[in-house]
Amino acid sequence: MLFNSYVFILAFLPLTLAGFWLAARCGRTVAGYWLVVASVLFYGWWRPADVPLLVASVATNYLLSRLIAATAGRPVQSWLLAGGIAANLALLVRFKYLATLLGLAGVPIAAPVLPIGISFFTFTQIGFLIDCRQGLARERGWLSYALFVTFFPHLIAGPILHNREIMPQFAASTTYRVSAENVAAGLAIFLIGLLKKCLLADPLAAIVAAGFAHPQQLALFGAWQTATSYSLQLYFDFSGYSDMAIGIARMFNLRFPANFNSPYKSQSVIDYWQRWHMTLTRYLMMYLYNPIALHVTRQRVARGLAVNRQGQTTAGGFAAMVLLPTWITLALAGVWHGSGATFLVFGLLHAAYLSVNHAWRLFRPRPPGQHPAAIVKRIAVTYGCVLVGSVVFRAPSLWSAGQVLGAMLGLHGVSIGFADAKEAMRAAAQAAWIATLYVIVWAAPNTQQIMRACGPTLDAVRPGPLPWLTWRTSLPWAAALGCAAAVGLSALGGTSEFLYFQF
Amino acid sequence: MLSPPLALDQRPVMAELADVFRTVFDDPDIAITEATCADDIPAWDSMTHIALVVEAECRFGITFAAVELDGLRRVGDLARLIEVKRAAA
Repeated sequence: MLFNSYVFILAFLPLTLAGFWLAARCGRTVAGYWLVVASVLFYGWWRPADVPLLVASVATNYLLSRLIAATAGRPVQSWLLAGGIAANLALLVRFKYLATLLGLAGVPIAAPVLPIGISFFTFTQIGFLIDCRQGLARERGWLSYALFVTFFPHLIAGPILHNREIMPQFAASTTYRVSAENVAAGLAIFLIGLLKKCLLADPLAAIVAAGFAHPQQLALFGAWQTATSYSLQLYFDFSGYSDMAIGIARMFNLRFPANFNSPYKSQSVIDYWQRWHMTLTRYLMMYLYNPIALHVTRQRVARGLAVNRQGQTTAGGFAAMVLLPTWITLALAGVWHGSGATFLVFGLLHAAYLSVNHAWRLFRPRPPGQHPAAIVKRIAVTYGCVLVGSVVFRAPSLWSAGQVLGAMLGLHGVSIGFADAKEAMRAAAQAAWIATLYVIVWAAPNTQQIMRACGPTLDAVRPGPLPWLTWRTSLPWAAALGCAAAVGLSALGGTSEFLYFQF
Repeated sequence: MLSPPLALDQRPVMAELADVFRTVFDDPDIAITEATCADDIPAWDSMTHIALVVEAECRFGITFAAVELDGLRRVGDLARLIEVKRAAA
């Protein structure tokens, strides 16, 4: 079921919320089971055949987590964890990568239909198994676990939750009370996300699809229009989805972690990865980058090698402590999105960016200048790198990505001739719309900043620009959000999928 | 009568941690409090975070799990976790 559909907004959400409040009168257990059943219904609405897979995955991982916890301190615990991780990854490989891998080996098979959300709920559960092994997962009840994995606002496309931030919230009695404040705040966050999706992201879809369908025909203007449109579409689509997920959870008295923090305002690529799809970055840091980097750094200490800044600036230190964990993590981050070569190249491209960024910091450790021109220059360079990456990310093949990037460099000509005045007007209007969206991206506060009065996420919020644009429970804001709801609902018409559903 | 516990900034662990920071950042003038975070020290990135943790492991004779590192946002978080691990050792 899509967040941006009539059936969700007008039926599923209000009925699930009302049912939750009614069930809570009979106790937390009843309310919890109500949410699990509603979440499975939400999941199965899309393709009922995927429900058994979700249920089997949750049940198997829960049993594994209990076994891992029960065998603490015994060698078999490590085997159980390794087996659990392998089983989860095997499931992902079966649906996401097997057809590509067999195709490369000369054994072509038809690619299976990808169960929606499989990457998200599989990663969430692998993290839980690792935390059980480390003794860090404290809540171990079946219902608590089922809620943690299946709670519908994050089930399909995140934010990727960590058990320690959400399971205690499900255990708290305050979660099961009716809170008008939380419903108001959650609704406001949801509506901001809905507007981002329907009004800002979706209108760009046609330009993007046309550009990537025939990249060899793009000239300079068309290529830049295609690339910038996709970059904006991806941002408003995914951050809009995240806002909607955070808003829905808030209506149920739950706070999610932030997933976006104005990533296109980043002043370095390191900064960008701390602001874009933040919960995926956090996950990769916790379960991939940190273990690799810790292992390498401990080995260096054991061999008597320096690990401080001096040690990091040697060729061996930089290769071991920076390049190795960064390239492995980013390559796998790219492949997490899919089996296409474009995703691997996307990951490696960002690994290269990060390596240069780290080297720049280490070898020219001068504090960055705070003059506005210096800040604008850093933002422009960072965004330029990200834009190139997003072309590779979106393109159906490396050839296609090369065509778009080549056209952006003017290799296909710089002609901006139009067939007639009507086409010229349309192109000018599209360019003006893209410029408007960049003003929103770079000059407007983000959703957390607009909503900071209500503590919208688990993360701290720094004040943004336009302080007057701060939500509060007042008549003008109620009227504005009412108008936003009307506009958002009227724009639903041709409901479109969220881009991250394909991952 | 028991005296009230010292504030974190006054406990021995903070003085020892300050020395860890000076070693890792190669900066004898660096000063920390329990509220110090990565935003206050520009060179404190993911790579230096790992170096800090491993240096602290050596200095305090403890071991951190990789998944514990994400919760260490401020110096105070690291100092408290060190105290917990030392008490459990």
